[in-house]
Amino acid sequence: MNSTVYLVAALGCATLVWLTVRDGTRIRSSRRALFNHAQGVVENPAISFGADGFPRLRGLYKCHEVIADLIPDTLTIRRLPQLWLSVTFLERMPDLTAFALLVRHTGTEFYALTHTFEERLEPPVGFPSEIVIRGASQAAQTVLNALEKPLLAILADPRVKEIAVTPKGLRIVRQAAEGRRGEHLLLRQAIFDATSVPAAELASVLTHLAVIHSEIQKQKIAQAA
Amino acid sequence: MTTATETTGGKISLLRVLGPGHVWGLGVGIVLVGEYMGWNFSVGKGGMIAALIACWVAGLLYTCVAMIDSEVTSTVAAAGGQYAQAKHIVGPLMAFNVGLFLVFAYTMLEAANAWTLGFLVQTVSGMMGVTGPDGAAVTLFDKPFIVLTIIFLAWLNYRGVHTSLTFNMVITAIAFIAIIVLFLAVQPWSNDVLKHAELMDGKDGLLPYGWLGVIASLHFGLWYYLGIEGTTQAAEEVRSPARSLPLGTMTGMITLLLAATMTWYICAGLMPWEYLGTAATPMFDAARLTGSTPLMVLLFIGTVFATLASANGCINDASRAWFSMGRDRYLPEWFGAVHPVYRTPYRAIVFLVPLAVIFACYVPLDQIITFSILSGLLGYTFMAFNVIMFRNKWPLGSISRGYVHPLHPLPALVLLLLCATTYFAVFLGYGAQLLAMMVFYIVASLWFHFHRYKYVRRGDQFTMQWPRPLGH
Repeated sequence: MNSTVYLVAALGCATLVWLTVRDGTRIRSSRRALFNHAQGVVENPAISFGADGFPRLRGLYKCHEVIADLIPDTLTIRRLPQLWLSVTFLERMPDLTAFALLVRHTGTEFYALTHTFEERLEPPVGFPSEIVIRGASQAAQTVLNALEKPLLAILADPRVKEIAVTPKGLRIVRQAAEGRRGEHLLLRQAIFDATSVPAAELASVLTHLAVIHSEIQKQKIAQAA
Repeated sequence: MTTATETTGGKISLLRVLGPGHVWGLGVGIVLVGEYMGWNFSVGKGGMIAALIACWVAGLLYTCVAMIDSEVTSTVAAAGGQYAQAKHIVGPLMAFNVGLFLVFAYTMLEAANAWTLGFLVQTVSGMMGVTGPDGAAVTLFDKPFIVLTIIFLAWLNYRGVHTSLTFNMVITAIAFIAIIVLFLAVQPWSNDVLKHAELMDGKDGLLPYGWLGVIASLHFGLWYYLGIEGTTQAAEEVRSPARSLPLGTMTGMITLLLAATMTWYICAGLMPWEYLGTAATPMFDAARLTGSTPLMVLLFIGTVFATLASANGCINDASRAWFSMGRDRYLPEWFGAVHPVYRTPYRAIVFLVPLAVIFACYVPLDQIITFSILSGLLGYTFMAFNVIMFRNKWPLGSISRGYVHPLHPLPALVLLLLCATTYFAVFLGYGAQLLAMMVFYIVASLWFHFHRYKYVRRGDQFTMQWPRPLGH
């Protein structure tokens, strides 16, 4: 009797280990392919992988260096896990006063830059009501007001989470996918259905960043004149 | 059921994705552990019938909780449950307390799960007749299993390890199926196995302590549903129709109510109330009494899986509540750190491990459960006051609400009445624990008010652009 129980228990454990390894491998391989379609949007694409298997894409877009990251966010309470697409335009603009705006702020956005700034700024008219805007100083309010139109156009997409304008570059964080409800409720697993970031989605974010950049350059020229 | 595709190493395979009809069942899975242990202490407080009444009255309490919670959650876009609600509607001191209620309710539930698992391993090892080298019977000691369970699950959470999807499904399916199989196996349509008439004969069998016993048993009646409100999530970052919030919780509750009644019916027909009222694993004991080995194995696996799933969820939720409090500076900011590689709240996870281990190793199960229930109860009491303040400060029409609960303020008043009755019930059997808990929260509140509050960024607390509340 005892030997039968031990045998069944050992078989059960072995099956569970096999299932875990198999599913883990599947998940990791699906993560690695997330930028396969979108990498064509940038020139000289280079993909590297983090410890969690999520990829990072580096490349050039209209002669600007860009980095796209996928950030899994499981630090949510009574919300499903989120997968964020963070796209950064690396562009030095030393004279710029930094600011960032965060939509539907909960306080747990570890990936956001908004919390790093001290000064609270007033949202321009027409911005979403659930927004927090902070800047390095009150001088950032002028930059914010000047960029009102392009920012408003970006915020029309409800999946946009954060827009950051800093002297080191520009960044947009946007929802890429949401975790499956069943797996999260059962064992708090973050499983995303997204098979790949669509090229159009990355292209759209890069276009928005390029518009902000050109608007900043226009303002600079206008001020200099 | 719908289907979705997922790329797996270049090959496209069909994945079965759970439809909305199954989601509530999965949500209930993590609360299902309440059917496997803890609820039966209500039998010890007031007898068989008292436990059944307590189960249904607790169902009414949770109906009020679901209605109130749905309205406020559908309005606070930042989600985050009661903690975010307290920040927006009452203030930082209340939010600090609500955060602690959540952390302790979950951590004590985690300890209770580990305790049960350790006890079960010890019991089963004794039953299997394992002998040592000297031929003497060996019983495995429960403490190492308790510690290992907590540390293993904490490690999974620290690393953000992906556990098998199939494994997850199997866990819940077995926990569910085990109860149903047991129900069918005892042939509830006949008196061959179940002996309700004999076991509930006379006053001692029905209400041994009279109606006071019914009130006393309400304390553990909450255990059937504790945490059900947390299973209904604000659906997504981009808000979804809020109607699903009350619907999800209510359907989950109906499932639990049916499962609870089935559980009660099985156990009440198999065990005398004096034994059932003190049993650590009543469902496993019920399976043992049927004399069926396969049923015993199924209930053993069901209990192990239900406790593991629940404990894992508790570590996740408690650590995130602790992390949020660190981020908001209600606690030292050090706790608000995210692991640079695994992106988990690793400091919060590690910090709460010793607390769970100490309680699981050195405190009896009924007291651990009492601490968990008390923290939950404090949270529900807050919700009653919270919704009244919410309606007074922002009346209907002043802000957009996804869902408006009916008959206000009746649900809030019923909730308050039931909470007050449950405090009295706890006082009847666990007065010292009730006072200790209250003293703890008062001391913590004083620490927050006189020391910690100066570090809080008050301007950051309120993230909703609601109009100024009435009277301010």
